[in-house]
Amino acid sequence: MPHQCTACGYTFADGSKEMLGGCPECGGNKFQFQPDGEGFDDPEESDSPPESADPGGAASTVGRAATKVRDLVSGEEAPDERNERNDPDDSVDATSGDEQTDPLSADSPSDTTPPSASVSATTDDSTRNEGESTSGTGTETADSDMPSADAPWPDSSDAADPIRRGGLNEDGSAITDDDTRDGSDATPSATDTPTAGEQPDGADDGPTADASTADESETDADIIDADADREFDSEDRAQASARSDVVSDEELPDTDETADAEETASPEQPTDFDEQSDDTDGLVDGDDRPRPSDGRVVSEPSEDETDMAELREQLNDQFESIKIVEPGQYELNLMELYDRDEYIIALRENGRYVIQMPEEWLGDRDIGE
Amino acid sequence: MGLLTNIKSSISTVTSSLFAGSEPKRIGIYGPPNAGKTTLANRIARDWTGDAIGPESHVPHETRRARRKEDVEIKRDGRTVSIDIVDTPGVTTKIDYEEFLEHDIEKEDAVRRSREATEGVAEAMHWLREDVDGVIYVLDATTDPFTQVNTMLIGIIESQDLPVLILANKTDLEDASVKRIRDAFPQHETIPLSALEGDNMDEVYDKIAEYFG
Repeated sequence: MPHQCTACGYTFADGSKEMLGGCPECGGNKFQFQPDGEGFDDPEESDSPPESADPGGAASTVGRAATKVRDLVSGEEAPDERNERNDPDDSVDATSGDEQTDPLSADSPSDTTPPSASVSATTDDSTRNEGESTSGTGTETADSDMPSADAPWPDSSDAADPIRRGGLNEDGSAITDDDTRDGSDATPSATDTPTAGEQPDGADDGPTADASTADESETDADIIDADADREFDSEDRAQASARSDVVSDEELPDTDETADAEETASPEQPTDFDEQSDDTDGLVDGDDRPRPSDGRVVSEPSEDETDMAELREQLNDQFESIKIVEPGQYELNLMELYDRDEYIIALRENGRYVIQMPEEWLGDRDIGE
Repeated sequence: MGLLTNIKSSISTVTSSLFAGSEPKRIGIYGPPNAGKTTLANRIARDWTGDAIGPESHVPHETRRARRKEDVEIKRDGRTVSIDIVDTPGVTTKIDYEEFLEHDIEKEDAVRRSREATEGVAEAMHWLREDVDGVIYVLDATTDPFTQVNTMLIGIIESQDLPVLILANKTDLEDASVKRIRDAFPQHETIPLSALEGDNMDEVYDKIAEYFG
């Protein structure tokens, strides 16, 4: 039951036509899509889990941000892309707002070194997320920025775009952590602690992270630090270990790959998207499943796509139930007419119908159209 | 009449118990175009309420919207059966405005009629699914009943477990063959009548009371 009404939780089988007329339970017209085998979460909740580490405020913001981003930039977030992520170097940037990326950002600091850096990295994530949330397009831009991290970063750029800034900050802060930041980092907040769990992952990433980026980033970091500072008061053990320890690649969770994937993915995304739209099943099939985080965010865009395809099919069917041979000449498919819930109340010569959905909208109004 | 009465009583014992004491049944009058559905509906309505339901015509698809007459009380054997009668547009799989041209209708009007008739069929099919408790299926006894439409509609009605009465109409015409209709749907009772002339309407009311009362 991959589809679920977001209002009342009513679920629909994949390919169900029920939902085309609105939720039969509550009349709602917003649905979320969940690949097989995964439980339904609230859209927002699902987003938050990764971020959960951050205390409520941050998490909720992130959740909202994620939702927004998902809507706007659904393509990027596709799980496939993340998985594919190949470039370790780029990974540092952290990329998309997803929590997964956070670990990466953490890594960069650790690689680079300074202990304080690790802490800041985590904070950065939170900040970054917020930044993304504000910016609709944020995710992509953020990713693109990340790569830039490797290259010398113009300070102006950071300051310039408020929206991007969030993304930059993350990177920057992560980088910044290296040295200077200690002072700024010093502030680690309680929020960081929750994140601590994640940090280990970040440490794992460390190996992958590019030292080069760190250096360059440093400059940026200084600028960024200001944002980061407020959130962090002190480093906690997990963070410290994350910064100092290196994890073998085997131990690395999928997340690192995914994070990298995002950058690389962006070009690929279009393809994935197409596939999704064409193939409902394809959505479900994706490697994405394995990842807990992926399913929820990524799949949603696909749902829209599927719904559109379904809707198109529905419309085609409707036209088959009455075939307009030419104006004034009609061929009717009685079984089709009988089978539909809605009935046609007005027929146009141009081949359009005005239909009445049972209990959905008022036919009179439509007739006038 | 005696034979018919016997049949009636045997059936009534079964059916009347099914519907006893419930709300007025909504009875749809279905059938192909020009079978005499509206003529029958008007006769029933006039006989029991004094009103008519809709205009009758030789031109097919004169009825392009379903029309309903509520609370038609039919008195039989000392009891009253209350039904809602729904006269539906004739159901067909093809509608061509040229059909109307033969009846001295201008092309523009014919095209409009054709479109409305198509909408009417869609509406009739919708009513069949959602809104009727029983069906009076009217056939023109002078025409071949073995058509796709008749087979499909009767099949749908059967699949819905709706009580159905098949009327072989136009028995006033010479080439009417009630047997042909009876043979076409042996699983249902077929009642001959002329809605236009009012022939055999007593039996029709008896059956309506039995089936839908």
